[in-house]
Amino acid sequence: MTEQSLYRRLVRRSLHRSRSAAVITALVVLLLGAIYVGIESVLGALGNAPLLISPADAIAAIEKPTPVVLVGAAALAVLGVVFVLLALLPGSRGRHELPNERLAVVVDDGVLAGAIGRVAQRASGVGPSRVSTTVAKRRGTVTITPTSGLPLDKAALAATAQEFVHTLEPRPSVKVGVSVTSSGVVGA
Amino acid sequence: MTRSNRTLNRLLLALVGLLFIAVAAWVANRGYPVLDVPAVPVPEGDALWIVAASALVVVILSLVWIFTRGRGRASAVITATDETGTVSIDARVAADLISHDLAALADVVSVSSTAFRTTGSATSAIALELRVVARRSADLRHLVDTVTRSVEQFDEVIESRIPVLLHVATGVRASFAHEQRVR
Amino acid sequence: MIPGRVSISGRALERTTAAIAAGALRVPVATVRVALADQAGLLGVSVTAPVRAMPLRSTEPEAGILTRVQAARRDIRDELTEISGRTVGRVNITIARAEIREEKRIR
Repeated sequence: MTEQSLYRRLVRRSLHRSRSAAVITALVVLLLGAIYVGIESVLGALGNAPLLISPADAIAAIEKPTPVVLVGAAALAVLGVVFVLLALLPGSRGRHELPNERLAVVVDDGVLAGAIGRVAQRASGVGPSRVSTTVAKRRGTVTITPTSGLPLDKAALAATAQEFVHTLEPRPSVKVGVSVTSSGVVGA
Repeated sequence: MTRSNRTLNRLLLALVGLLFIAVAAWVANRGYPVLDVPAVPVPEGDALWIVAASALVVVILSLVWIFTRGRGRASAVITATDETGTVSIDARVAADLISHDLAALADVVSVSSTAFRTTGSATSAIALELRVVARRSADLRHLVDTVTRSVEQFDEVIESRIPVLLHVATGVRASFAHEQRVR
Repeated sequence: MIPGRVSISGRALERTTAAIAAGALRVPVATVRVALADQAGLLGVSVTAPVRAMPLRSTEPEAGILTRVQAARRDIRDELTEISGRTVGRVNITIARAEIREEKRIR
């Protein structure tokens, strides 16, 4: 395996969930069900009394489902759908990759947001408590509460923030928008 | 970091999920017939043993799968063995050295490291994961540059270039057992 | 050559080896753990210890850790053989931590 492809894998595994926990949970549920079915089958084959329901009664309950059985089936269906969704959804961990010569670098979106926010905050001149930033997969939003009487140039701030993002080159790329709240705060 | 094969995980997950959906659909179909599916015969004698055996197979396969999940964690970053013995250097040495360098940065809360075996085709190399918990206000560029320089110097110290993954985290998770608090 | 047999208990030998290793690696003896075992008749040694290291960014060049530890291992083997009179088999060293020594300024 080349170093390049190794780094690709390291990064990919850090960016997405492996679903290990989910698979183990699914298998445990399956396992418990199989154990129960096995026990009842053996008891039935030996002609002994069943643990909860005998195989014959179980089949009968399925063939003419009572509301209880249908609710059980619905629950099973919900569980099945959850598992399938987990299998299909990407399971992003809220991180971005940053290019680097020597290392594979992965950054939590919270830290990335903080960095972008700091740049916008310093460009805007307001205090750090008045800037809040969020970063999603491809979009970042900086929300600034201005000082009353000191209007902010939204476009310029957005350009500054975007240029900072450009120097970091996060992957997937992030487009930054700046939103200035309509009501400001009096005082510095 | 686990060695799990991610695609296989998802495949298995989907299969189990579909199985559950299919069983539920079957039961629902019995209650509100949509498709014309024949009734399940009541199993007798031998058939019951077959069912029991199948259930056992499912249980065994599941257990085998669950318990063969290798952790892939290694403790040593680099190992040199010859006829006189083995010298191995723990991942914590990397964390100690890099942590010391990062101590000057106010943005860094803690540094921890884990070495793990990368599942390769023919060769399995040891890779190092550095987890640096940083404050939200951190100067990201400076942090990454500093760690890069430290790792390059670490390369010289161990006279080898190991694949390194740097994860800059927000620190909401509970700290690990051997996480070095920088401050 | 003085006739007679040197009898050293296992525990004493372990502590002696720890002292030797601490000297060779230049770390406090309290941080060194030694385990001795029989290795097909030879004395097998396992050492777990930190290594003294300069900060990564120090201006003083320092030999690589592996080289230094391998050199230390030779010293440990030689000294242990001499002191105990035993034939030493494999010496395994695991470096668990780095004890970072700041650069000394000459005043």
